Amino acid sequence: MIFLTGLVVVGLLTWASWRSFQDNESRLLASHAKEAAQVINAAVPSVQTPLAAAAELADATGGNRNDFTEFIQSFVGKQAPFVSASLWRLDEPTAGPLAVVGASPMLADKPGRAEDFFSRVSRTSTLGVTDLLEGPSRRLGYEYHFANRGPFAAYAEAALPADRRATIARNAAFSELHYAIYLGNGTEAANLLTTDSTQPLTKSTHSKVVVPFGDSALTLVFSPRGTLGGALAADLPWIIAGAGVVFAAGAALAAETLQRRRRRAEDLAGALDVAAAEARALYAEQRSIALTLEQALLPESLPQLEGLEAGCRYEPGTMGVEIGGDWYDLVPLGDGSVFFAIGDVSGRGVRAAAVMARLRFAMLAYADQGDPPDEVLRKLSSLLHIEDSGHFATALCGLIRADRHEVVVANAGHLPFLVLDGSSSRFIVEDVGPPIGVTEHPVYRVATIHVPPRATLLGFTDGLIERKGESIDVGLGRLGVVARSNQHLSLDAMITSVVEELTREGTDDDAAILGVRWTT
Amino acid sequence: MDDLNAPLSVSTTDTPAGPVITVGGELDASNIDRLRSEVDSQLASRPETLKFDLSGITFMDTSAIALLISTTKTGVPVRILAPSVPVRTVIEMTGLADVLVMEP
Repeated sequence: MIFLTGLVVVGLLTWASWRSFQDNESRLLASHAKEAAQVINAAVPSVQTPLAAAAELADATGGNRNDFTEFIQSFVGKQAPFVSASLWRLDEPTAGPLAVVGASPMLADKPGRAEDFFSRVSRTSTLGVTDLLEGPSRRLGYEYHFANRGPFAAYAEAALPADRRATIARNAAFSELHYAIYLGNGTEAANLLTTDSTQPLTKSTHSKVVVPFGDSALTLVFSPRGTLGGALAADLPWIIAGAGVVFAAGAALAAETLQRRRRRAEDLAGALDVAAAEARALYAEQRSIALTLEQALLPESLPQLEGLEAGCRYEPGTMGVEIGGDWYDLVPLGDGSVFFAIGDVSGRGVRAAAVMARLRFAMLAYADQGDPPDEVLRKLSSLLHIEDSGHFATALCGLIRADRHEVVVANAGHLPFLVLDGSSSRFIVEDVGPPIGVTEHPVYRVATIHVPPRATLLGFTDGLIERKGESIDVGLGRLGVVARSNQHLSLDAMITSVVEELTREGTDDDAAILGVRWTT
Repeated sequence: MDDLNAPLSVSTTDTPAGPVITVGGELDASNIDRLRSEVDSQLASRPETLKFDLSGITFMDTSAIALLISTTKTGVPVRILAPSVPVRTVIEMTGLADVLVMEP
């Protein structure tokens, strides 16, 4: 009788463990699918940003073909995102493209196709997406234009693998998963863009996510390659069953009942530990994806500059797994000046990062065409509207003339930058205009700052100084003190010390810092 | 981590001059939705102005600023009453003094 009861208990225990394993599997699959969707989603700015900048440029130059060609050609070619890029007039698609870079656009191959596409997308202000999936060279077409601005649309085509089977760059989000990606909301075979599986995934255990993609959508289908929780989780029911047989046999010996019960409790505690470790690993993985994305969106390294030392740091916040919207840039311009920028898009997540990427690249385009800092910020304001996107951005940018020991700067609601020279430190607070995306016709003014020899400039975002329960000027004061006490160090070591000292107790928000030091 | 925050308080008083939303404590991305839903329900009755008493705020981040700016975009004038030092500093430092009008 005791032995029979033992078997029933073992049976129940094994079943419960198996159920919890299956629940775990579904939860992990859904979670992996969501991460993968984030990765795909984050790829959208890499398509949209160059097209938006090209459309902006075309509107600003009245459709100048040379300017368009010069700008877009680095995005077309073998290692580049597009095989073909072209400039069109939205109102005259029948006239064909005004300029073409790379292969000739498939959009112009079929009569009526360009007209249909442009008349559809002219009504929206998001990235236009069209499928060019028939025929041997399969492509996706993308279009961007600014509504209520000039008549110009930047258009580009990206090639897809011909056999619809390819391996996406191996990424943590895709490991352990088979995937298939379809254009649109359905999973019809004709709309399959790419997959790593020979079988339709919808036939087995799968998870489906629809991600908005411009004015269309991508449907991502995922199916586990093996068991997601790892071998231990899969074997757990059998381990418990095994232990249970011992328990059942032991239970027959009444003397050992208590001891066996304790062992069962220990086994269950072990199972909980496994679940907790999985949750921790999952969190760490999501966080590392967010950090990878953020780093992919920031400059890979700072340039070597004559007469200047430069350094930067990006310190992710301690909370949350979502990507932040902080950015910085330091780029030499042709005329001997150096353009610098630091900014922060409000909010977090992939949408904030997309706004950041767009602002960052547009800013570089304006600076590169010779716009002074106040004009850069004014033009940037027309790209972001809080009532449409829910985001606004603060940004500080300027031109450094190393030889003249001079900085010309404009500020859109961003924290002031710090100037350190040996004995003194001061924040440059004059002429702060409203943040980007807040008012329709903001006014920005430039201030010209004279910089003493060997002085250091530090630009930063609020994550570096913001602390709960205190006013932000208290944090600024703390930064001034810490920076001053570390300025005997090399710029790189100084930035490291400042970030360490200020974020020692952990900061919720991401923090970015950019430093420049005169060598003479 | 919410339990580490100074607790957020949100309450609304109807005055002859329109509703006043009084907010106190620490306001950030983790609890901004509480204020957002109160703002939405007040905006639903189309007040002539919407006033915020922020004298009890000890900390606020950009998500609070974003909510206040978005509220001005609905066409209902927004007034910030008796801002505490952290609030006044953030608004002035971000160049928003013309957008988020403070009294006094």
